[in-house]
Amino acid sequence: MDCVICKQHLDEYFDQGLDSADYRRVQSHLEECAPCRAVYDEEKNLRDMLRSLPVTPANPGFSERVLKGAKREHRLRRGSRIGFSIGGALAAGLLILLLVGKPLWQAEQSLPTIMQEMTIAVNEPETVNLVVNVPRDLPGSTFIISLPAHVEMDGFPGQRQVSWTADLRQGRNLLALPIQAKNTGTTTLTARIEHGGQSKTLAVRVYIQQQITEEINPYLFTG
Amino acid sequence: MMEKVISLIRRDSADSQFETLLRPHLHHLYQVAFRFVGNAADAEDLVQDVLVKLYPKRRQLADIETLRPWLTRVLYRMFIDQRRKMNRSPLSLVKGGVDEQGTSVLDRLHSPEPDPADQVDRAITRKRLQKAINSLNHDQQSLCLLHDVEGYTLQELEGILETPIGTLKSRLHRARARLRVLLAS
Repeated sequence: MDCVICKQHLDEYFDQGLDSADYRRVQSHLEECAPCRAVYDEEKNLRDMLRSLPVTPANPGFSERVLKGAKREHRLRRGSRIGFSIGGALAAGLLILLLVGKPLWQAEQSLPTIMQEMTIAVNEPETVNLVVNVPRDLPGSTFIISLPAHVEMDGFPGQRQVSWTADLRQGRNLLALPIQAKNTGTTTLTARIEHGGQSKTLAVRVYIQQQITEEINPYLFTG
Repeated sequence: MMEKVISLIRRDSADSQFETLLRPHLHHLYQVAFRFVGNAADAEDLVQDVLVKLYPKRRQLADIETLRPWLTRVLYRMFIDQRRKMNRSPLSLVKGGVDEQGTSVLDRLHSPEPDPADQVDRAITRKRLQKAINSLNHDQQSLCLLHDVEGYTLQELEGILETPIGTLKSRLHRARARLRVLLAS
């Protein structure tokens, strides 16, 4: 076996995809050839590093949380005519809120599509991170954030609308909005971006809740 | 009254079965989800989404022969769907989160500039390796994470990724070649 063939077979050698004859030939060549051995060692190092990439452990109670969450979501979807969402791992102690908010403005000819949802706790600072993906640079873009009642943007107390001008760079841009809710409820925040006579609006349905300690009766909704 | 009692009992046993079947796989699913999304909060959300999707079909789960690769396939497809939705919209909501290494999922949105410290130390570090993996295209990244990091065989991945083994082999070969180039630069 020559070095070229050996290197071609290395991937399958590692993945145990060679038949026993080829496996022995590669093994034998590696024992005799220092340069190929060096390539093998480098490849093994890479694979060992890949296998040892760390994972942040799940938060305590993860299994119970996701199992109960699935059961609860299923029963509430079956029993309720009001749409809602179980918030993810943003806050400990998942809760369900069944209030429906009024549309923010009736005068708009077409309401923005609710594209995303999030759950936040009342009086807790939270950051809404929006990713703006544009195919080319858009200098001088206008950003207009419309805030519902009971939701304020950090640094702009009492303002229902915050707007500014900034450049968008080609690709993905991060728009981080620090907000805080003053009251529980279900409401909608919109982010509108305008450039060159065109615009795009994202609506975020926000569920604002407080801690509730009692379990929802699992037999409340029967099918 | 008897009917209600019977329906409650049936529900209880289906619920218990769901828990019994899935509990042994939850931490593995979380680990795979973490590989895909890069932070604990989103990983937990992804697993939650999978369980919410599977719960209505809990009675059929017992019929699945090898549950773990099947669950990984569901998780992978959900991850791809969610990523497609994000990519389709020029505006999307991203949940922030910082893992124990201090890496935020938001860091993935920016093209990372070389760290001056990395330029001095050319040895492969975990941080550089993670950045290199993040730079692979989506298909290569998923395959690399599932095969080289999580240890799934190509036979299992043929089912999980619904891609022929020949394609997976050449894709894996290119992914590793790309990683070597990125790590050497």
